[in-house]
Amino acid sequence: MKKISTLILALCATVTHAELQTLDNEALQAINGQAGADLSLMLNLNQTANGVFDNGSGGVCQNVEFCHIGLAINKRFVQADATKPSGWAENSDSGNKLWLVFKGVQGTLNIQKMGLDGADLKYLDKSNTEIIKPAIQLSFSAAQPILIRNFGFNALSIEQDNFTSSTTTQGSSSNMYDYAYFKKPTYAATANSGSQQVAPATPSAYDYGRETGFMGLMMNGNLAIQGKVMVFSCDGSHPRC
Amino acid sequence: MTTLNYTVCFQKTVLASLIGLFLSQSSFALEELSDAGLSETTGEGIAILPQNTFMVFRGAGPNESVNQIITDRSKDTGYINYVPVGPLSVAAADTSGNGSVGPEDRAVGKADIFLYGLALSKSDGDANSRIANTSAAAAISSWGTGANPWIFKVKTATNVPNFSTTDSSLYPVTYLSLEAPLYQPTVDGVEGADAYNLKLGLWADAFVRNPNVLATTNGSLAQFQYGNSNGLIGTSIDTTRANRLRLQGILNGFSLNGSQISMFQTLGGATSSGGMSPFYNNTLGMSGLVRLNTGDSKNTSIVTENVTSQTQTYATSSNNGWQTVHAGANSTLSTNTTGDCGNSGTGSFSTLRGCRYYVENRTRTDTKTSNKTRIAFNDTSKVLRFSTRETSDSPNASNNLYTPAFDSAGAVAPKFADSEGLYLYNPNINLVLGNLYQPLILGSDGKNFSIEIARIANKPEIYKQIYTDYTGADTTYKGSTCNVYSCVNPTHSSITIGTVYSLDNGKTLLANTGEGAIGVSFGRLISTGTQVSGTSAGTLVSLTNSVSGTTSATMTEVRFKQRQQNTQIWNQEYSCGLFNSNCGYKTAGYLYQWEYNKGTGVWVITNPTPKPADATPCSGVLGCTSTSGSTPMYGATSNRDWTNSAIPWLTSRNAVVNDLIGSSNGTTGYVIPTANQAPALSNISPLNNLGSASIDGVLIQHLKLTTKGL
Repeated sequence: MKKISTLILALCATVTHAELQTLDNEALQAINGQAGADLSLMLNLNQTANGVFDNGSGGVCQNVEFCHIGLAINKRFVQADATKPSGWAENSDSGNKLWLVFKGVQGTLNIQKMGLDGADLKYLDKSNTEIIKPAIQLSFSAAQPILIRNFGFNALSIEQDNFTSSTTTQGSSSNMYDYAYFKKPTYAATANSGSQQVAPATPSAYDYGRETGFMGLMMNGNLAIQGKVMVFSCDGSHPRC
Repeated sequence: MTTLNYTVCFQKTVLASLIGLFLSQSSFALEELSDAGLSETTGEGIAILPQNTFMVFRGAGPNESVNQIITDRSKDTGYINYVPVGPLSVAAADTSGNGSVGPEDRAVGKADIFLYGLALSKSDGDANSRIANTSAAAAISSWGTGANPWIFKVKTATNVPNFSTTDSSLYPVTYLSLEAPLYQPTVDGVEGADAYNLKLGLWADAFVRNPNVLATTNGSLAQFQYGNSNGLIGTSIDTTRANRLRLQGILNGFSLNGSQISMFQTLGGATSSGGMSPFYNNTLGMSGLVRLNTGDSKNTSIVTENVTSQTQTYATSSNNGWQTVHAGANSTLSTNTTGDCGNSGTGSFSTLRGCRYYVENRTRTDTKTSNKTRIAFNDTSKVLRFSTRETSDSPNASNNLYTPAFDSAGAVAPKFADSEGLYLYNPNINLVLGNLYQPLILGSDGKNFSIEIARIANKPEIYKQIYTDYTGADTTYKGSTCNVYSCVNPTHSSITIGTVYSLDNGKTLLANTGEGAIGVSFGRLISTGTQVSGTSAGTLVSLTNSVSGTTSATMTEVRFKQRQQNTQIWNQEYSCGLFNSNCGYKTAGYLYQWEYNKGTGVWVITNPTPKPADATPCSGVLGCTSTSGSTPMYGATSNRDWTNSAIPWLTSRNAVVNDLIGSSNGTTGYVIPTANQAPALSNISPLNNLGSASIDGVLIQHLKLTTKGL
């Protein structure tokens, strides 16, 4: 995560040139014959160099709570309610805030080459006039695929804060584990051995020690993309805008 | 608005400024846009146009040449793995239903699903390839057009009612949407044609995982071995059990055009009453319109029929073929115009059933001479196919627990047989998942996760935007079905497969029931002479490609006239005794006539005899008697004439007539249709063709999907 932040900061830093001036369509179009840039981006998140979850001793995810991503949606709270099957009642104004927590977030993403160019695009606008529109052209080659290594998360879970918040006030706690996105419950040891076939419906050998949740998702492979993507502004004269 | 949180909070303004950054087309400096500012920004967005593109998910490994990627399908082993987490619930594992999990239960394991080789490209029309075999054939030249690209934009819808049934105000809703190109094949022309001919290919391995074995990545088969030879948990494991479903999915010739997804903040006003929930209020709302269309298929047919001659002949040529069955002159069945009914007299008449009906019938024979041919149909350019059989030379075909994800050394994709599986021809799938009036929201009971399409609020401002008046009489109902013909104000979903048409410009859909209609098929539809028989697995039977000959049908219809006795009563005699004692009407007079059924609930007396007036009262010391007419009186002969033009023919079902004439003379209630009724020649549609299917006008009133047991 630190790496991402640094990346974002670095990107921000590059746009602080002074004297930015307007370039209209005609001016942009007049510029030609300039080669674009080839970019390569490598993101390695919570993994060792060989694409394995870095949760060993001294690894960045030795404490798995620091390898979570939590997402809270506006006005999602629960309040204790013994009459409900789950013991909690939905509340849209106050209560323990709910978080959708992605656990064991990890992955290596290597965009080996992405061409960044400018190109002209022609289309007919609303008044049926031909417009020559300068566009950003992002290009990819299948011969240099995007390398995706164990990109995903180990479990997805709904967690709740141990303190109450409301739509107007954010609760707090001195104990970090009261925050939903730091919670790290795991499945308990199994009651039966691997050779025993009759498994009671309790935590199994497969789940033992894993962080709780209801599904994980993992991608692995070389994503071969061929082609280019034109990106341009869709202004009021465009038939779709 | 969502709040993304790790250790920093992305504030709404950050999101807004990011969007604002993309929207600012030629600004001097980057400026933050407030939410209010954003809501005033309309009609602008970021247009995205992919060109000359294809994508395929290859196995992890060194870079390959484009030619290698396009021509070698064995390395389509890049995967997306759905990882099972969490214990099986007792409800899932206790298949015997005895309340506990034991050796008597089926081996229910966790589902471990690998989706491999996801490929998106231009369709080559082959239902057994995940991507075309040349780079040029695989490339989508332009996914949309310059004038009709993908668009990422922010827009404000004004005049959206909230959920409250008492608040009739209208509010603005600003939404962020990603829209595919519009569905307009004729407008997009050649430039955008490839967007209507896409191909999606993938294959999958889905395992039953043994919950008692740790997951390994070394390819150990033990993790997928579960269940004994009877499929029960038992006490042993049958290692030869095929605990894997291998599946290939190919979708040819489709477009995503017209699809869109939106995100917005829902409005408020919902309470716990009326089936609503306050959880709907002011939270993240979403809506989706998913359109997977392969195009208009109303003329797709695999059987053509050429009719060379046809006739329609009545058994007799006079009187338009009508013949008298019963002349209504005799109390029992008789074609004679004389009998015991008294039709030619003026005195009493019989009211037995034979005197009350006049019956005719006619018999028509239709013939049709035609020849019928099944056309050579090998078109798989617009089909959704799921198949599972591998070819005999497929790598690792004998190992029914192999999957490339666990084979780090020689991961290789299987080869699938080319004509087996479920074929869904010409699918057109248009799903409406929520809209601004009925958002899709995310919820939770504190542990489980749920997706809900909000209940439609019980207020006209909302439900009139969603419901449809199919008669078109009330235009305040704005909703309509989204299908391949029409998708204006989409609120209702439709799924059609095969030959489907619309008689009302897309308002409603009908599946073609003709013999040549295609749609669902087990195995590829074929045009050659043999195919697998349904009676004996694996047996090939000869399938006729054409049939010709003459067929005929003979039908009889019945018509009748009906009458019943009409009785009128008057005071026929008035009298007094001595000294005007005991004066009064003494005798009632009766007039009997026929009245005839006009067929509309009205009966009419033909040539009626007027009823005499009541007798005039009289007086006299010695008594008196006054009479008017005589009794009984009967209708004139002309009242008994069936040929009176005021008497209509009836064709409705009448049990008395049926009983009178007997079934050999036909049955009332059947009218021979105008069209030729000669039966079709024998069916030459392939045995595996199940025909077309249409699911039309699906409205989601309220839908909630939730995980359980967490």
